[in-house]
Amino acid sequence: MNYQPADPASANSTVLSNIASTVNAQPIIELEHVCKRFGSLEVLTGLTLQVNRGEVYGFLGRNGAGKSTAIKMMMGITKIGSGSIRLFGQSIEGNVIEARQRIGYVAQEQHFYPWMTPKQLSKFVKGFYPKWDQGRYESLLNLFELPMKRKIGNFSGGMKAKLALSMALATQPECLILDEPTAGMDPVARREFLDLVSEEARRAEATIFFSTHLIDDIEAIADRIGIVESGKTVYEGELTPLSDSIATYSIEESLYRPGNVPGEFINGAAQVLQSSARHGRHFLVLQFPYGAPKSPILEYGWQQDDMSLEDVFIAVVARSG
Amino acid sequence: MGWLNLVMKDVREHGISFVVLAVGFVLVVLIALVQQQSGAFSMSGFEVVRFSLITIIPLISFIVGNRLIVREYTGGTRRFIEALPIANFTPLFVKYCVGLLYVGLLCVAVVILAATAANAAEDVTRQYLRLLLMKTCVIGTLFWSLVFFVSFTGRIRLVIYVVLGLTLTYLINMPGFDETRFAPLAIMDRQLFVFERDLIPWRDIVETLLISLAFVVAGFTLALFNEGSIAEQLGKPVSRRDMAAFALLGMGCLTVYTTLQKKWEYETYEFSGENVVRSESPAIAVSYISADNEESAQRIVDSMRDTLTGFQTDIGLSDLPKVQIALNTELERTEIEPELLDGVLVTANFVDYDVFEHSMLQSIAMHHLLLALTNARWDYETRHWLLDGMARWWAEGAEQAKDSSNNDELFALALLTKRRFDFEVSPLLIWQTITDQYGFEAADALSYTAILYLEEMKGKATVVQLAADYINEEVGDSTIESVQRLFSSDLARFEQITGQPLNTFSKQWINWLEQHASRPGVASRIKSVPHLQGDVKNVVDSGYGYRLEASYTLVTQTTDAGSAASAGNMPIPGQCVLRHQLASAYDLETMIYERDRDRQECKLDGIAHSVDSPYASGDRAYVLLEYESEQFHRPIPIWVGRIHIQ
Repeated sequence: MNYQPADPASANSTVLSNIASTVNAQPIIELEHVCKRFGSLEVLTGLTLQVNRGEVYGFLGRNGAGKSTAIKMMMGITKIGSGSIRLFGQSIEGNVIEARQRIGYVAQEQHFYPWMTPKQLSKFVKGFYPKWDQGRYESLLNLFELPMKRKIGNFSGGMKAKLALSMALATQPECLILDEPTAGMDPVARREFLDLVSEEARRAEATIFFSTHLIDDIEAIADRIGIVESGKTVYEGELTPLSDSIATYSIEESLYRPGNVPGEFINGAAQVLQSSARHGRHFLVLQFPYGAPKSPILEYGWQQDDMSLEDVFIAVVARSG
Repeated sequence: MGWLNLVMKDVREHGISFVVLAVGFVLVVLIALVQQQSGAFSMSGFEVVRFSLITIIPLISFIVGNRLIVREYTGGTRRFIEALPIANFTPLFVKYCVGLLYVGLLCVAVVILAATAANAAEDVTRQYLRLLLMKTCVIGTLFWSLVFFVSFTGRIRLVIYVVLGLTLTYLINMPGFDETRFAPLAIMDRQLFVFERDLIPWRDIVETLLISLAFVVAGFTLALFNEGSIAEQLGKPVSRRDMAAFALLGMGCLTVYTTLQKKWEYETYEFSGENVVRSESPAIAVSYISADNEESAQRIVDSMRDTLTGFQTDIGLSDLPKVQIALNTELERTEIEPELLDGVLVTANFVDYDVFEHSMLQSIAMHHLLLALTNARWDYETRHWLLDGMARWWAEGAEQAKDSSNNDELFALALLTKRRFDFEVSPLLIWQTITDQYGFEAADALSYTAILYLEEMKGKATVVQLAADYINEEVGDSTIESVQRLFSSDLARFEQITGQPLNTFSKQWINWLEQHASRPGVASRIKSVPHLQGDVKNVVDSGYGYRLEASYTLVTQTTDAGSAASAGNMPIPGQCVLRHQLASAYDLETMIYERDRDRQECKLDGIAHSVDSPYASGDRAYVLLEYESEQFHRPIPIWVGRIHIQ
């Protein structure tokens, strides 16, 4: 077998190949080589992604990978360093207000006015959104069992996130941007929340851009994903091909020699995403451009291990890091 | 209409607090207005406007800034707003406007309250109110703009306020630095802010508004720079480390200040030289330099003793403040400089004074003696006419002096003043304007005749009772007692003691005064003064220097001098004088030195005075045109005004 060490160029080629596959779709969100620097800290180093109409797009990345910065730039809250962002086919610059009216946005942390009740909140925000649907807002509050006349300051974090989602959906958005909205929620609340997001996406044919570092969330609802690491996209495409392209093999540490490979693979050259030792065994995570072999013939001592989506994510991220 | 939602949100969030704050503000202003009437050295209720502007309104601006801006940052709610479909600029602009509107309303409120409290006895004209309102609102705008900017500095804002305050205090107290030449302090000048009634300080207003604009721009810049990250960082709550740093800084400043501060020692003021003529009871001391002046000093002590003893007996006071008079032969005859200093200290050139001038000196000493007795509370505008009138009344020896030539001159001066000023309202109710426009001599003469009329109508006992009411007045020890004084205004007090409303009294007194115009000694003096009108202009000459030019016109020909002039028998007898000096509100009551005086024949055709002006652009000059007649000891004011040198 021959294998190659991973390099950024090959990562980019993966990204580009996946984007190419969506070239005929109608893009709602387009980011091209977006960079952003705060002082000496380079947060985004060339983020490129595309979200098409009707998609549920999972935006995956470690904490500090630049997800929130990217979303803030999409919302026009943070200025773009370089590169371009287009929303609904128009550059975000100069069209921020119009874009925000068409987007339902749920921020990572909710900063509602604590003295307001959900009722007062709707009175306040509905003037900003031409398509505000008060009935929808109230029905969502009922669905989430959020009291209309209780001060938001007394709400738990989960309740505030649900309120934010209700508000975002009541604007009848063409696109929903969610920035790690389930962070801090208990599993039940998370599932409820995600179910609703998923249902809404199907019902209103809205585009959903969903940022998270929780693989389960992505798995639950995402059609396509983008993985960001160190400020740039390291994977963009569907989740299944990604998970199908990666496999983990292990061998007892005492039998492992550097350069050893699990076997000869006919599917072409594999990239080593990760090579590490733990619990007396040495692990190799390999990525196969055309999918990992289902039942490979392995060299003596090697075995193929099960791999969760989380393992896949870690491997991809680790390679980039 | 997103901005309207933002406004309504701020109203809902802060409305109750702002209403409570406004109610508190109104209460404080009302209390200040009441206390102002009984406060030492207070002249006018409108001083409360200035007081509010330098104390309460900055404090309220600070609170408003804290609620409107700082809380958005410390609470993180700014992030909620910044994600709404609205330009980043808009929420800031709305906040600025809401705060400005609120502070502006308070500024309007304080002016209205002061006007309401003052209009019973002060000259509250629309022009004056417009001017005061304009200045108040400009300063209010400045404070709010400053607070708007500083509020974005979050946890270091208190330090900034302290540093700004200390810097300002240092500048104001710095020797050789005239802060009143620079906006915005020029607008806040202690005297001009309240007592300037004519000139609009356009340059200072524009400069102050430009400074405000600079603060606003700085505020927006700080709030929007780098996506607001600086303001957001600064907006984080004060940490223990910050607190410790601030405390250390504060203690350090305090230590430096107390180390450098000189200890204040009180030294009593008393003549210690050998050339002093004294009287033990009442305590009078007159100092002189040359032995030639001892006789004059003795004469002053004797006449002053008579006046003070009469006053002491009338009121029933066991003791009086000490009266000291210092001879300074370098002063002009007309220069009399009174001060409250361990009693009363008057500096004057009293050598060779005649009866009238002696009476004037005593009147001025009495004026300040009454101020000393009332802790200067009698200075307050609504009762100032009583102070002036009674000081002269006692100085003239009460009723004994009614038929003297002094009386004729004072009646003539009062009638001349009335002739120049068509009283639509009682002059007793617009005392500040009378003094401002015609000088304290005219005001003295008017008020003296009013007191004489009161004495004639109601008897000496009533005059004395009215004076005693102010002298023996007990000042409230608490705010509640001060508030209770709301129900005993000067007008009510006058009516209660004399049994006559002041307005009615005033009308009757004017009629009575007119009846004295035919008295030979009065009529001849009035006829000797031509009814002139003056006009003064500041011009730039060919050498780009400033010049003051004045001209005269004859209004009526009813006087001897006027008839002569109109018949072509020029010139008008007597001399016309232009006096000028750098302006402050009371300059008419201070002396203008010989070097700033131009004495000419009263020419009616063309420019009568053309003098080099020592003023620089931006100065205000107080200019006075007077007519000097041999029949009067003091010149008669023809035109008085402030000129803005531009």
